[in-house]
Amino acid sequence: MNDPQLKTMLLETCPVKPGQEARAWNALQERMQKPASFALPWRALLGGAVAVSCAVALAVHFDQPSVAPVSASSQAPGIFATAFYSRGAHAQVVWLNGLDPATDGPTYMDPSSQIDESAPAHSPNSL
Amino acid sequence: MDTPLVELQRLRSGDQAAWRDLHRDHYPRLWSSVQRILNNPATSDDVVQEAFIKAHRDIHRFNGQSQLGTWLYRIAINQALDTVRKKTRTERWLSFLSPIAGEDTNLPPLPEGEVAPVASLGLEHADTRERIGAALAELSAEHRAVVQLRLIDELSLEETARLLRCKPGTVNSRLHYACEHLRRKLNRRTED
Repeated sequence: MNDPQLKTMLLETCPVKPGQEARAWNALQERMQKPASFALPWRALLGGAVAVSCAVALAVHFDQPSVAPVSASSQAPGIFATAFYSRGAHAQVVWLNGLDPATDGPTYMDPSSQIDESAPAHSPNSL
Repeated sequence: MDTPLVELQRLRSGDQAAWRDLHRDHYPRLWSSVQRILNNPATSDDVVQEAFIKAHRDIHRFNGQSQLGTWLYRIAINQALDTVRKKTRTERWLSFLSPIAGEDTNLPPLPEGEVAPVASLGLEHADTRERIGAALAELSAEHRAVVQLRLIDELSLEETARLLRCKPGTVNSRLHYACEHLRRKLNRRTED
């Protein structure tokens, strides 16, 4: 038996049964009418999930302030300092509480460093 | 030969009647070809359906410079061969986990001896068709794929090797083995 004969015989195998094509068409039609989003393969979904995760991780990473927050302690009783990073100003800010209301005179955090304003003008403590 | 532009435009516009005609014209050949490779009717149904879904999705990419049937055939065959590769990978894993599982897939060696010519085989008889189908089923999916692509569809050696991702020499040796196996089985049964 030569190859053409074998081919002829093989072509007779695996015939489509009556009604099979029509059933296959009905099943295909149902799938064709589904929205395209349902036809997304699982690899595409997995790739999308990985991409979103990476984007979120990068966003969180770059959103962190480059300068680590520092703490500050008061130098006088009743004065409290709070330090934080301002995203708007892109700078470290130190917020002070407990200072006396603003006056024309200087405010001293350490009362012992207060200068004597009655001292003569040539005094080294003079402003 | 090119695909008629009118037909292509109807398909691209999603004309259901055009897709119905395309399915009716090409489904039998595609299903038979895929089934000869996979030897599993349910999987063949899925593969051919998936081929049409791909064609429906990518019809705008088809440039019309070849026959639509040839394009569909390539999609279906690639889909079938992907299925074979996935199955082979799964079986390899299973045989790794349980070494005995994979041994049955090995083909028995061909017996020595001359192959006698077959007297007239009436293929009109269903039993003959079943016999050759059974002989084909005894081959591995890789051997069946070579028979389908090289012997039945008459693809070139290089094209067959490219589709099967193997060397041309492997295609030749598989084809030789498969044809000898089929001839021997058919002759033996004819003699019986």
